[in-house]
Amino acid sequence: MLLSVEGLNVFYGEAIHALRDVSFGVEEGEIVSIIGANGAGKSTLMWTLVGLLKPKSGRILMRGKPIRPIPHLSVAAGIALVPERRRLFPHLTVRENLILGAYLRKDRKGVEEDAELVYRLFPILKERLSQYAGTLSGGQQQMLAIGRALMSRPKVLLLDEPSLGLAPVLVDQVFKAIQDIASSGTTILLVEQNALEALQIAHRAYVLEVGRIVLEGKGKELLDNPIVRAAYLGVAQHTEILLERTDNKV
Amino acid sequence: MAYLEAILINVAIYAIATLGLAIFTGYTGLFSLGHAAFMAVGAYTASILTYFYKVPFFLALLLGVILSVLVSFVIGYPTLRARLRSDYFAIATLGFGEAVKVILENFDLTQGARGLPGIQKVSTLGNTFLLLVLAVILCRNFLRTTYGRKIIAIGQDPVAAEMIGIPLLQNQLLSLGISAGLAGLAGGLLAHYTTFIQPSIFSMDLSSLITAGVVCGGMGSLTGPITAVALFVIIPELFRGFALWRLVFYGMLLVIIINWRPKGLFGYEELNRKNLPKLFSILGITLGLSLFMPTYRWVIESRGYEIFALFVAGMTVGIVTVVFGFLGKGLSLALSPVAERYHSFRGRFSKGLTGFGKVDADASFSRALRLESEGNDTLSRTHVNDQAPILEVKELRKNFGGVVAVDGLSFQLREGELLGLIGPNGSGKTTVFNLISSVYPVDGGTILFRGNDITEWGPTEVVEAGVARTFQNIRLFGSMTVLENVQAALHREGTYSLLEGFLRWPNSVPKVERRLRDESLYLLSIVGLEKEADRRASTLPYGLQRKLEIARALALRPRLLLLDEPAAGMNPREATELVELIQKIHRDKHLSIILIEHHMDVVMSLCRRILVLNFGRLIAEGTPEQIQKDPLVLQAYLGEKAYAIVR
Amino acid sequence: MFIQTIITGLSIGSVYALMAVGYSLVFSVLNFSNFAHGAIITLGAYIAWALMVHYLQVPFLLALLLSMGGAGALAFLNERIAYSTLRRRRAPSLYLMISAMGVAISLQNILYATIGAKLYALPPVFAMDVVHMGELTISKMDIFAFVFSAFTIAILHLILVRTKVGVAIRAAAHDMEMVSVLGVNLDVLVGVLFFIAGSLGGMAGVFMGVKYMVYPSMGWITNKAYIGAVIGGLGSLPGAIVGGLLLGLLEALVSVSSIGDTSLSTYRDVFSFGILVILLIFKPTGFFGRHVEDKL
Repeated sequence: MLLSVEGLNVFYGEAIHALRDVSFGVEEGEIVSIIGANGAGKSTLMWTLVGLLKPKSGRILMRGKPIRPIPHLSVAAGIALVPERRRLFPHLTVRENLILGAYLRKDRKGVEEDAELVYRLFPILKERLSQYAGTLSGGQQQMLAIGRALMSRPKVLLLDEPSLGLAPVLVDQVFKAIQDIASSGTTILLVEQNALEALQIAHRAYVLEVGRIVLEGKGKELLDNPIVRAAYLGVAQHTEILLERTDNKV
Repeated sequence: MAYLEAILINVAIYAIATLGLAIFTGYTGLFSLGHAAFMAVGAYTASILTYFYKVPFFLALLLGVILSVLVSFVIGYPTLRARLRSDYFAIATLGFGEAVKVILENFDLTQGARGLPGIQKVSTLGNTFLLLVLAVILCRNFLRTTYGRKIIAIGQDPVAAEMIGIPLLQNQLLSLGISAGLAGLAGGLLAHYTTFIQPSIFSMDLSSLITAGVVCGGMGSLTGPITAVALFVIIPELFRGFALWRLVFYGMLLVIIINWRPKGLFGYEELNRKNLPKLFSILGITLGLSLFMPTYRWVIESRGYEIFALFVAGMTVGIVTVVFGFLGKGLSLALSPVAERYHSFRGRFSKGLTGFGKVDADASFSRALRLESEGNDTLSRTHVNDQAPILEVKELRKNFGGVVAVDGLSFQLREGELLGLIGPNGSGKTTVFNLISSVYPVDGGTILFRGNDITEWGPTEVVEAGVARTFQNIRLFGSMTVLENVQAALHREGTYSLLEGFLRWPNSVPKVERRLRDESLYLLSIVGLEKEADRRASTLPYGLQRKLEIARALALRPRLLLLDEPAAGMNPREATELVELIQKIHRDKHLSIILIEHHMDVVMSLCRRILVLNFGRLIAEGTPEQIQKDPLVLQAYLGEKAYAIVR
Repeated sequence: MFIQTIITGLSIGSVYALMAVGYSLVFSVLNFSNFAHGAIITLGAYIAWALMVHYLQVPFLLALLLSMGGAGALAFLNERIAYSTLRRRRAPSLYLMISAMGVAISLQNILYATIGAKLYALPPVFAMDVVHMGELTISKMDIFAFVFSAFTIAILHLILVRTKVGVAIRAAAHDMEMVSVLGVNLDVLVGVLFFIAGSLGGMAGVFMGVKYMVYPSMGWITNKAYIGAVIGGLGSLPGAIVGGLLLGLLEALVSVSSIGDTSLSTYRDVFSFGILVILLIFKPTGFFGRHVEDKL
């Protein structure tokens, strides 16, 4: 296991139990998706994995070695997060945003190589290097957020709702980029509300419901799971019928 | 004896000033660094009046208080009006302190830095303590009125307070006014006790003392700060010779308390039986420590062994501490039968007469229900025209930076309708709620509510007009009880005046308060929370917090209720209960409701009409069945690629 | 006469700006008013006094640098002891403000209790030296303070724009949490931040000490810096510079004016407070301030 999580329990304040005994693992080179409704605890899980939220109990391990829940140690261990709503630094230039992504790295040459990789993945960013990040369009901002996370050359890339607020064309582009990143060797843990897209590109997937993992399986298997269909695949029953047709065509 | 009297008078005067800061900083969360200046205003006004114009003492005091209040409005209004961070207010009070000092130093009437000598000595142990007790009672009464609850709510969460229709500025000013008035009173008393005042008395050191009192005594308590400041006045008397280090100690205490025990002495509680042992332990430790040196010297003088002396002195400290600890526990135990008798007496008293103790829940529900049904009659009469739009949104537009969040959205909501608003995350649903409830200014378009153009109205006016909402990220008043959360929202129904509130006027306040309490319990019973009434809201589990938000919104007597993802984070059983709850309030309260929700089964089972939003635009509208077949909706939810395959 | 006043104003304004920049820098990242900044400035002046007068006869420039280093270290310690716990716990900014007040009260009174309330002069480096330019007489110290402040602020600007730590500080001003998620050790970053703010404060303290005197409550002058920062827009560095300079200028102008027979110089502090109130009425976020909207 590259990244494994054991018995994670996270609380907000005194009473809100946001993650309950969450355990799962991500193998080297996999794309793993976690789907669930709003408020199920998906983002909480992401924030916990990067050390921003301190779990009450449970461990996060990287190649079997536990990581202390402190953000810069998580990054050093090879985890990078593309957070929900991107959280770029709008008053900093595109270049500065990328520089910050490589904050912990001392190998100047490697950083330059990775920058080139990011530009190859998202050529538009290279054209906008000295522009303020806040002036980019929504799709470009998402690309920058992914690029920024890649600059730390992570072993695992965490993506929290990368499709949020993007037009369908752009959503497809972003998912294409995610697959490219995965095929170049970076392991991916994806959290999505857009369950169909997320399940289609995932090797394996988990379903999170009110803080608990209630289902797991191969991505395609979960697409067929009636519970998943009813709850997460868009607009209820009618979709189900449509989905059957989808599967036949795929 | 005179020495003891002097200490006690000082205690009373500083306690009044500290009470003033406590009721402001402790509840509103705004930080004032200029309270010594308010004391100066009160002191100089009263002294000049008694000294030069021979005005009677109490009248002069009163005028000093009034001037302090007015001055506080003059600095409070500009700084609080723009709803800036509390830092701006703190800096303004800092500047105000300096300004007052300079004016006093250069004004002829105040005789500059030389000060005013020979003021009458008319503050006595009797009148200072009488005023202190009076001030405590008035403040305590005040906090238990709708006026007080409004201020507490603002301190907990200004945004949520505004969303339940509590205007920030006037309530913050009210709290500041009371606070400055008490500071002015303390100043007047101080001047007529020390008989001599000069500008340097009202320095940062004095502000520091009362700030330390409030923080160490506990923000959110009245008797805590008073107790703390009393200790701060008394303890230095025990440690003579360390006078210069006194303020160093206060400063360090501020840092220590706020870092490691931010609740202070009594937390949000008042001085009560449970807290007595705590108080006695502190007294014991200080008294014990103050005996250390004398004991040590005494032993050295009589025997001469240093180690032995240290041992005896150490033992003395320990014994005194332990004895006081036991004394505290004993007193607390001894008082418990008295307290019980008092409570039972109050209970009987409240049942027999006006009363404000625990209420008979069943009786109050039926009474509230009766009120409710009467209300319904009038409501249903206005409810005739089912087809008239209660809300009409035209070409609504909102940008954040370069991103268009709402893009020319138009829709209507019919009176009594339960409308679903769905769309992928980030499609602008919550922004629509924020625009209707005036959290953000609108960039374009109009919002008509019951025929009125409310586009430019402020948040509290929108609430007043009959729009209530809940929040996607729950925003309750965390350290208030469940009951108080609802009571706070009933603020418009506290029909007594501020003066009556202060005096807890027996003819009006208890009656109204009891009605508000009954009403709150009734509203809690609707959402099934009546058994949790006395719990702190932040200790409720997620699902119940969401229900409490609904109860709080209902307390605003809305015509239109905006529910923002009420089922988020709920398990299927809770979600089913929620559906029933929403149906019930929709039916019984004759509400119009807009529901944002991601749980499709919830939306489908509740709404006859659904709007679908994507990129801030309306992409579909219709019955659940129509929506499910709509190609644009499927595309929005499934993504372009998947939809292409489907088609 | 008028130009003379302008120059005096710019000189004192540049020192205000120096203080305001340090204060604003901390505010922009940690979002609270560090009222202990004045105490750090005072201690900076005392360090210079100890080095130049009391214990040794260190030359001025060296003393200035050592004071900056010392004040920076003190500011760093101040953060570690009084703020870091609250920061990690994400306590409300009121708590941080109160903690800062506590530090300010303690430090100032430690000075009273140990060194005493006496006023000490720093050696007249070139305070007495003046330059004559036509009718103008300008103190060399004024020129030096202005030039050196400007130089320091320019260096600070370079640090913030050119270095990785500087970029991280600017990013943290917008979203501290996200900065930590990119691998920045916040404890280190905030430590650097306080060291910078403290050194700027130490420098300002030495300039104030040379110009006026060194005494425990000299930190109250920092109130002017706070007001300057608000005038410019809290949390904005250009705002702090402009606000500080502007306040210095206006004060200098008021000091030489009079209404009838009464000179206004004694009312200078009332005047700066008046500016603050008027500004808050008409332009509450200052000249460069960002309006922070509370997100729901």
